[in-house]
Amino acid sequence: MNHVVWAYSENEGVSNEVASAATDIVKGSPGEVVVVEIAQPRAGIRAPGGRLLLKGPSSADSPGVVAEALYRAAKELQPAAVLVGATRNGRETASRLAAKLRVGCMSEIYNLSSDGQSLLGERNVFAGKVVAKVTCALPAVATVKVGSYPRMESAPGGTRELDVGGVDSPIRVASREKKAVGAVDLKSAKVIVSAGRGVKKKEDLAMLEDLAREMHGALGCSRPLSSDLGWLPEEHHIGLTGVSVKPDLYLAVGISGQLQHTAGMKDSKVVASINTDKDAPMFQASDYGIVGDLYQVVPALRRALSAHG
Amino acid sequence: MAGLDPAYAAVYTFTVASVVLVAYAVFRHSRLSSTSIGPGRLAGLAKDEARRFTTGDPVFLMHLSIALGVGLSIANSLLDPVIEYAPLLRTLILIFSVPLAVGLAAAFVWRVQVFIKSKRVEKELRSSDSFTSASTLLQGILILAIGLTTSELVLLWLPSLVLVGGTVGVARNLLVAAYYSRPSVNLIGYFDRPVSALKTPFSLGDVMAGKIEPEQVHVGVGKISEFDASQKLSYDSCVEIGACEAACPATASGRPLSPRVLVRKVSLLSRTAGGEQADPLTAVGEDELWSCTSCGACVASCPVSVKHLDLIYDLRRSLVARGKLDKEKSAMLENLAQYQNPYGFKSSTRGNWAEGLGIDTLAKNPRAEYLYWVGCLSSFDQRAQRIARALSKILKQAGVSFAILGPEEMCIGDPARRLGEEGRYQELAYQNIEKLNSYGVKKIIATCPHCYNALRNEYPEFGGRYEVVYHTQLISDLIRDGRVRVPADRIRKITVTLHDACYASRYNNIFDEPRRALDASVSEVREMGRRKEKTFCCGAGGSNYWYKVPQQRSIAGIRTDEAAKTGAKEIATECPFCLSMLDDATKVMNTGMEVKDVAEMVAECLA
Repeated sequence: MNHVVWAYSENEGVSNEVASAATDIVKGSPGEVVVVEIAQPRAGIRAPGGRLLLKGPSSADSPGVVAEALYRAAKELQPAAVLVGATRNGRETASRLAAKLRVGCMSEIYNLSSDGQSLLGERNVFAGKVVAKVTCALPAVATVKVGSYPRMESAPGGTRELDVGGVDSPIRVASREKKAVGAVDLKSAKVIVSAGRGVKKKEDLAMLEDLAREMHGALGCSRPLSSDLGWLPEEHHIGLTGVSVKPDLYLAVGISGQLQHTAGMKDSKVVASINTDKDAPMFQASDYGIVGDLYQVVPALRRALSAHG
Repeated sequence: MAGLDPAYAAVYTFTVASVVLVAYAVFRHSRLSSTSIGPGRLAGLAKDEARRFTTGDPVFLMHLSIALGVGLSIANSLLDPVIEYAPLLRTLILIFSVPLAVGLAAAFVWRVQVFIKSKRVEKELRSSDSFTSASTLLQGILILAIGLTTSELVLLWLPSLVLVGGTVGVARNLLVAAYYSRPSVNLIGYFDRPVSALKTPFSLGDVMAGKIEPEQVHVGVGKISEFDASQKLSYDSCVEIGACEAACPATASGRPLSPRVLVRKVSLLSRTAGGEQADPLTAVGEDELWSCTSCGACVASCPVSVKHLDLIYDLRRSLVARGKLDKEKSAMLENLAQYQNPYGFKSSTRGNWAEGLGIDTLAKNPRAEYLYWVGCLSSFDQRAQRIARALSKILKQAGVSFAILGPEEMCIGDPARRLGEEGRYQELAYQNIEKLNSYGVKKIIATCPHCYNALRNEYPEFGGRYEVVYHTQLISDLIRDGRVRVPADRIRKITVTLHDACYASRYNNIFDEPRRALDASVSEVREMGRRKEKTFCCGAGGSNYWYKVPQQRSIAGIRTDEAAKTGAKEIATECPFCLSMLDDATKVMNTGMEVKDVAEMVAECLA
């Protein structure tokens, strides 16, 4: 068996990560790393051991087409392993390729290595609580967990071309449009100010929106405000039937703290809450609590924030 | 009397022939669906109908009027040649015909009213034209059958019109043979199948024991032919009485579901060309199925025992098998797999609510008389934990020996089962049963009716047999026996209304006990119109707590309105999910009402 490891991703940055993963595998062995490209070479691709450009398919848009092209090339050149970046498309490409080649497919792998007989690696299971060590006999296909390897910086190499013939795809790309970015991105917000039924009327949300902005955060809410009262669009709804968030600071304002809500924010780092009811369940889910009327506490908080610039 | 009149002879011959046809149609449908309709079943049905008669339910009284009215007029028409020799019998028939004619006339009016409403519902559901016309035809025919029977009973009083009456009877009998034979068989065969009965599609135990191969496990229904004979009979028995639609919380909230339309769509699909091979999901929408809260009002209200819930579960299982789950639903199932609770909390924190209360775990005190099965919501929801603490206080004061499982408890599995993930449900059920049996648990107390229902009605099938008592039952017994005493001066002067939980009342006939417990702890209980086994859902059941469905207004909001109209200051609940839903709704609607569990209300009165 030769020790050529192929690296592929439809995403340039991820491709450079996968190239690093492949380099790790061949480290200390006479193997080599080949970065595979489909249809067109891309400028940002780093290829330590040179690149293999597969000619024939008109584009690399469809995982089905990519898998077929890789399959035809692999049948001819017999690489020991094919690594694919575990992006949405990559996962599909890899599983299709492995099925065509009738070899094993490891998914979402990092810490890859090889003993010459098998591919070894690690993957997170049980929501990241446990690390599983997995192995698969060579030849093998694996998807590499995105973000687990540094991007290959610079490694020049020659390009070899291989014509794999045309690949038909039932999918035609009609046009490309950028995904509309929503006004609120609770998932990545570091600070979230969240409004509950303690807010008396819709107009009062402006005060909390201002507070959120001053704290460089986003505004969320509990179910009644979005689903029942319609004061905020659904994308603000945090909870079991809404978004799950884990900001550094979660400020619950006038939220009673039913599980319907807390299930969606329980992984927040620091939780503070404001409520008039000292027995509000929300306080038990909080690190800090202020028993008081939000209509007094929030303005005071904003004054204090502006005083500290 | 007119025995030699050839016209009379002809009408009488047709009468006998049409009655034979009715009997044959009933016999044939019982054979086709392998439904037992023997004397034992009939006697049982008569007893059950007598019981329901005493409840005074108007829909049931109309149904009874139709059944007895048809029976009486058939008997009269068969006896007609000899009736002049039995004047007493004739008088009796005439006397009986009066209330039945009134009941039939009421049924006629009800039917017309149902017809008008049903067309409105179909418009909202955007039902296809072909569905609407099929529905109109069926309802029209049955209105006609009721009209014919009513006029036949009136004609009994006019002997001179015997030929007219006889002809009307023949026409009605033909309609009965064509349209009422299936519902009759269905009613005789399944009147006593409880609302809580759920068809178990496969047994994981059998798979693990190697009795069946995993490949043989078939989940969901991909084609009409995969429904069993009793299900097909059930769906074909729908005669659009409309009781289910009137009772359904999903329809009331403007969700895209009417149990009548659902069942009829499947029945109509099965009768199209190639219908046996048709996929029911081509006629039924996903949101339509997710709209159901499994409250069972449809099944309980159906006068001819159609079991809508079997259909919902089978089709939900198909959706799950095809991976048609959105983020919320799959997150719930993943949480069940990883954390053994549907919220994603760590199992190790499950018993935290009991800290400092001196409550043992079974591991520490395996000889406790009762296991208190807390359930996930009362374990993790800070608000619902108060139910667990309140019950513990009551039990301690009464000197009841009990323990909890603490971190060893897992979800009972109900949310997975109602969602259509039977495999996950059975995994949890088998693990729970293994745990309970390893401790030799005999008696269990539950504060969640979903846990109670699974433990009592479902776990025996998987090898878990326990004496399960609902907390409201135990509390009521403890008060009755004087083990829990509420001093007269501690009874709170407040007006309360009780919201019955579907899985306690309709599913398990628990409704007197919570009322007794309330009578002992508050000064006044005012009842809502829809109560006891006719209660109206809070909107959380059938896994609805974990996802959203398009709707015009919330089910909890409708219920809270109803509670507010009683003038009560507090709503008493007996289920942590009802508590959560109604608590939200009272806040949204600013009713100022507090929502508390019955256990909390009793515990409040204790020193």
